[in-house]
Amino acid sequence: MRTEIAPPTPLRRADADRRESEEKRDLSMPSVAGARYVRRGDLIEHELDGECLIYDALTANTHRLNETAFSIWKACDGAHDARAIAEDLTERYDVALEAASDNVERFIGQLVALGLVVAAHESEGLPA
Amino acid sequence: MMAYLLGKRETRHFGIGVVNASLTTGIRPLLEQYSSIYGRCETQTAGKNEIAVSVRRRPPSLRRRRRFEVAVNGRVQFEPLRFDELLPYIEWSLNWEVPRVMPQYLQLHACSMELDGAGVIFPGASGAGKSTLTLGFLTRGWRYLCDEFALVHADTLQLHPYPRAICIKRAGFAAVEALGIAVSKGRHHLKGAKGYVSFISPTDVRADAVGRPCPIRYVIFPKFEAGAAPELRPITRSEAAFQLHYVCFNLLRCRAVGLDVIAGLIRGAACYRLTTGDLRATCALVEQTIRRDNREMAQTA
Repeated sequence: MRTEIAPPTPLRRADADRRESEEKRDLSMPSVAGARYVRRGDLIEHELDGECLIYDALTANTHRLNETAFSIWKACDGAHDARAIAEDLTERYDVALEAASDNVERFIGQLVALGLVVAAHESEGLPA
Repeated sequence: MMAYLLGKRETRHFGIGVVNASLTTGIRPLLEQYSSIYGRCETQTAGKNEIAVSVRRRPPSLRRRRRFEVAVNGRVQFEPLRFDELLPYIEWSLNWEVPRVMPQYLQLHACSMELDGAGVIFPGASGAGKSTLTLGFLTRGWRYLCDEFALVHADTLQLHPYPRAICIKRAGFAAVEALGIAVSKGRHHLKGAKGYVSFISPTDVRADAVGRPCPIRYVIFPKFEAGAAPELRPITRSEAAFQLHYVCFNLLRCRAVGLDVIAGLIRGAACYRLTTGDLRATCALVEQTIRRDNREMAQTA
């Protein structure tokens, strides 16, 4: 069954006290259109019933991704850009390509701002 | 003025489930109070990784009522204290030391119980109703592991007992007495901002109250709402795991990666949010749900 794509789930910071300031902070999201990103290899990931928890030991933060966010996360493999990921989402969810692209770009921008993904061409030399 | 009956300092050893502790003091009434709730745990010799708590009277000062100090492994942790604050601060001292001396356990802020061999944890902040729920379940035949912590072994993911005395805040006295459990008058202790509390030994409720190590099968987040009808709402495992990591005391200090332990234990558990109001109705609802789930699982198997 096709379902409405969820709005991009903001990554949730582990520290509740900092959550509010995090929301207020300008994450200065970079433009990610056209670029390809890859997940940092040193993160601890746990898939739980189609959703995901990510632990970043460098910042001691934990993040939770819902099902849609997790599928975008998995597609950050260095081989797909935001447009390709959005196209894939339109096949699985009842969403227009334009809206999907916006959501994917915004979400990947958050991942970049949090340091969870890096541009594919910069990923060499990062901890695996 | 109250006489504190100082005598020769004496050390008593206790094995409170997997937590070993000793209390050294010359304050006779304190030793008697402690033994009255932990006498069931008293041992003849020191246990492994024993947490040594000592209480002594401080030199005379102008603060005549606050004349005691609590030290853990030789280091003063709390001072100056009144006599009626000593028991809660001894408990706090132990709780704070557990993650340090026992890094093999992940320590979650949760009441932990056992029903038919299944571990059930109720994570929640202070005031969520953990201790009151504990007593409610104890009167229904559940077994007690701890009213404040879930100690999860990082390797086996088993829930282990730390059967402390159950600490009830004054606001909960009436609900506990309605269960037919006496909250002994004259034995109330001042616990910081929480106000007056009473300690109840689980074996005073039922002789066979204390449970054994068991796997965690249910993670239930309680929230107390006065007068609310009890409600159990399923939540996803990732939501539960995410909430659990908020209530973990040693996520970064556990021997294993804390999130690995949380994810591991949550994979084998059903997860719910619980609105608690009426204590008896809440306990009945939780028990019915667990027994129904167990029956369905048995049929599926």
